[in-house]
Amino acid sequence: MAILTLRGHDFEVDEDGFLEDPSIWNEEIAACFADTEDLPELTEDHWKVINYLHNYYAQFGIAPMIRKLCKETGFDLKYIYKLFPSGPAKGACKIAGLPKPTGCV
Amino acid sequence: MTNPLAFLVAGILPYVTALVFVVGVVGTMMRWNRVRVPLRITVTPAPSNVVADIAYELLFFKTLFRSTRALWGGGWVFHVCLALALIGHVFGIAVLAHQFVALGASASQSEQLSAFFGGIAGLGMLVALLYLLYRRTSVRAVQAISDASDYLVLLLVISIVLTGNYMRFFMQVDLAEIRDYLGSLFTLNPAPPANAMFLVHIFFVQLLLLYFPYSKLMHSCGMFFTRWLMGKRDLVSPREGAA
Amino acid sequence: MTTGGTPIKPFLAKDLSLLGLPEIAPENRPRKAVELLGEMKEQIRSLRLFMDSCAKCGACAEQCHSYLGTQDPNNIPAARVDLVRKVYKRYYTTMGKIAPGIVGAEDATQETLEQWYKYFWQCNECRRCAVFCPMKIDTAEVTIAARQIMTKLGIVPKFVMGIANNMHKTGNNMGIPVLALKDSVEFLEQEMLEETGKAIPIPVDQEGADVLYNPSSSDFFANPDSMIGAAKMFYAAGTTWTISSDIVETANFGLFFDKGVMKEHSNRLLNAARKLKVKRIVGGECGHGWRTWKMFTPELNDRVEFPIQHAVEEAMQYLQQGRIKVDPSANPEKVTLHDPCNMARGAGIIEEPRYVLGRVVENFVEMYPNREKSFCCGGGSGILMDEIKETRIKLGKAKADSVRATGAEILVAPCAICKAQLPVAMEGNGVEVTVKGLLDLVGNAIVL
Repeated sequence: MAILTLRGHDFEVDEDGFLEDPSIWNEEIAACFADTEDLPELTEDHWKVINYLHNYYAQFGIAPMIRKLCKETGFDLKYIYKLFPSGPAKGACKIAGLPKPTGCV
Repeated sequence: MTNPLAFLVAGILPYVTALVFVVGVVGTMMRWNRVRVPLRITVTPAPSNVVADIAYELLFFKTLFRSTRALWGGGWVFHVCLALALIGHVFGIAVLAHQFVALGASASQSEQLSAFFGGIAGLGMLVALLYLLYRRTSVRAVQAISDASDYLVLLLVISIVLTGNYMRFFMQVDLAEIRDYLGSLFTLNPAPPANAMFLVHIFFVQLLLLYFPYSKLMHSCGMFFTRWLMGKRDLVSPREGAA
Repeated sequence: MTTGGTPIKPFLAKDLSLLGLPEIAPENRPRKAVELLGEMKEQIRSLRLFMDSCAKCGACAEQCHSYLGTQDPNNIPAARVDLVRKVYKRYYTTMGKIAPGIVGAEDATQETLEQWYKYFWQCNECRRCAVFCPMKIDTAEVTIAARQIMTKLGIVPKFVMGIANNMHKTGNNMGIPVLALKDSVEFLEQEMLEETGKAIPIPVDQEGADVLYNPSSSDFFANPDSMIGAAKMFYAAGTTWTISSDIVETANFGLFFDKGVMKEHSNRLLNAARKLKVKRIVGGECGHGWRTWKMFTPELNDRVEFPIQHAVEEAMQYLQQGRIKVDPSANPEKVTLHDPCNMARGAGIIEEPRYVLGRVVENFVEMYPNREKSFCCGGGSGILMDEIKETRIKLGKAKADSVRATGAEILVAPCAICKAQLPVAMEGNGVEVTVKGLLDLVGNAIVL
C-alpha cells in the first residue's frame, strides 16, 4: 500500500495505483485519478463510462463485462480506448474507483 | 619388485574403483527409483512404445539430431566411437583381438583389423571431444551454463583418449600381458604390468570411474529414467492417503 | 523498481493468510529453502532426476523463447535449473559438500532467493525445453518446485495471490460474485437472442444436465464470444448442459505456485459436478487448466466418477456425428492457430483444433513451429502482471515472429491466458493481428 498525492490530496492506493478503498470514491476523486492516466480533462463521454462502471460495481461488486459496458454506453471498444488509452479495465476502472480487474485479463 | 606407485594405481585402486563405481551407480539408481511420481507429467504426443523410443534415442541421439545438428555431430560421434572402443577393449583383452577369425580372417589379419577400427574409434573420439571442448569455450550459451567440472571432465576424458591413442599408434602393447594383469586382479593377486603409459591410462580411467557416480555423468543412467517418466502415458505413483 | 534496464520483478503479495502457512522470518528463509528442497527431492521423482541428469550440453538454449526474447543467460533452461541445482549440489551431493567450487555448488543465501524469484517468474512452464532436451529434462518441474518453496517461505506475487483469494471466495479467478454472474449470463442470452432470433440459454445450476461446462471466468469479462460459441454449440447439438455458480473457472492457478490451492480447485469442480448430478464435465478454453484436469485429477481427488473432456474435443465429436452444421464462409479471414503449451505439448490436444478449424474457417494457415514444438505466448504460468509488461513483450517475441510470418488476420488461441497475453506480445513486437478463441469461430460458423 502506498500514498499517492493528487491535486493536493493523499490517497491510499495499491501497487497498481488503484484506490485501496472503493467506498470513499466520489467524482472529485475520479478527476484526481484522471491525472494518473494523462487525462487532464474529463468529457461527458468519459463520465458516461465512469458513472456506468461505478454504479455497476456498487450494485454487483465487480466490473461489468466489457461488451456490456460498450452496449450500455453506446461506445464501441475502439472509442473507449480513445477515451481511456489504458483501456476499460486498466484505465477507466481506475478512475471510477473500482479494484483492478484480475484473472486471465 | 613392482614400483609402489604402480602397485597403488594398478594393484589397490582398481578394487576401490570397482566398489565405488558399482555401489555408487547402482545405489543412485535405486534411490531414484524409490522417489514417488506424484503427478502425471507426460509430454505429448507420447511415444507409442517407450522402450523403442529409448532404444532409438540411444542409438541415434535423434533429439539432438533434430535440434542442434553440430552438437549432435560432436556428441553422437564421441559416444559411438566410445562404444566401439569399449567393445574393442573387451575383444582385445578377452580374445587377444582374434574375434575376426570367426569371420574367416587369420589371427594376424584380425589383429590388424582390430587395430584399424580401434584407431578410427580413438581418433573419432579425440576429434569429437576437441569439438565439444571448443563448443564449451566459445558458444556463449554453453559457456554460461558450464562450471569448472564441465571443463575438467572433458579434459580428463581427452587425457584418457590421448593416452589410449598413444598406445594404439606409437606402442606395441602386449595384449596377453594386459589379460594376465586383469586376471591377476580377479584372483586378488594383482601383478601390474610395467607399461608406464598403460598405468597412466588406467589411472585416468579410474579417476573418471570414481567421479562418475557423483557427477553429471550419471546422465547416462538418468536418461532412461527421465524418458520413462516423460514418455509413459500413465506413470504415476498410487496416491498415499490424503496427499 | 527499474534500474537501467533491469526487469522489474512482480509485486509481492502481502496477505497470504489463505494458505495457512507458518510464517518464516526472512533471515531463516535460505535455511528453510534448503530444508524444503531436501524434502522435495525425496518426494518428487522428476525433480530428483532433473537435478542429477543434466549433461550441460546447451541444446535447450536456442529452443527457449524466454532466453531468445530476453537474452539473459539465466533464462537458458539449464541455467535456470542450475539456480536450484547449485544449492542442491552444495547440501545434498558428495562433490558439492567437499569441493563446491569445482562443481558450481553454492550456499543458499538471500541473494539466491532473489534470483529464484526473478527467474522462476520468467519461466512460463511451457515445457518446450523438455521436447528438445536429450535427457528429457522438464524445466517446468523445477520451476514448479522452486515456486512451491518460495510460497512456503511467504514469497508469492500479488497478482497470483489475488487470484487465489478470488477463487476461494467466489469460485472463479476474477472474483465475480453470483449476482454479477447471473447478470452477465442474462446479458449474453439477450445478445444471442438479438443476433440469432433464438432463445439460446446459458443454464446456471441446472440439476441433472448431461454436461457441467467449466469455462474460464474471463469468458464473462473479456472473452464473451467464447462463452457464446459454447452456448450455441450445445444448443445446436441438443446437449443439456449447465454452468455452476459455485465454480465457473477452469484456470487452476494453484498449478503455478501451491499444490494445496491446486487440489482445492480440483476438488471444488468435482463437488460441483456431484451436487448438480451431471454425467460429465467439459472444460473450456484454458491451457494449463486443461493439463490439470486431464493429467492430475485422479491424484488430487479421492474419487473421479466423471469423464472430463475438452470443449474442442466436444466440438470435433459434434462435427463428426453431424450434430452441428457449420458454414465456414462466416469466417472468411486468414486464420492461424496458436497451440497453447499446456493443451498441446502438455495434454495431447493437437489435431482436434485443426479438425474443427478446417471446417469452420475458409482460409487456415499453419504457423511454424507448431503443435508440440509451438512457442509459448509468453504469458504462461500466470505471468500476466502489468508491472513486468516489458519482460512479457520479450517473452512473446518468438511467438510474434511465428505469427508475423503467416500474415494472418486472426490468431486463434484456445486459452484464456494466451488471449490476455497475445495482444500485448503482438502489439509489443509490432505484429498486427486479432486474437480470438476457437469457440468464437465455431459460434460464428454454426448454422442454427
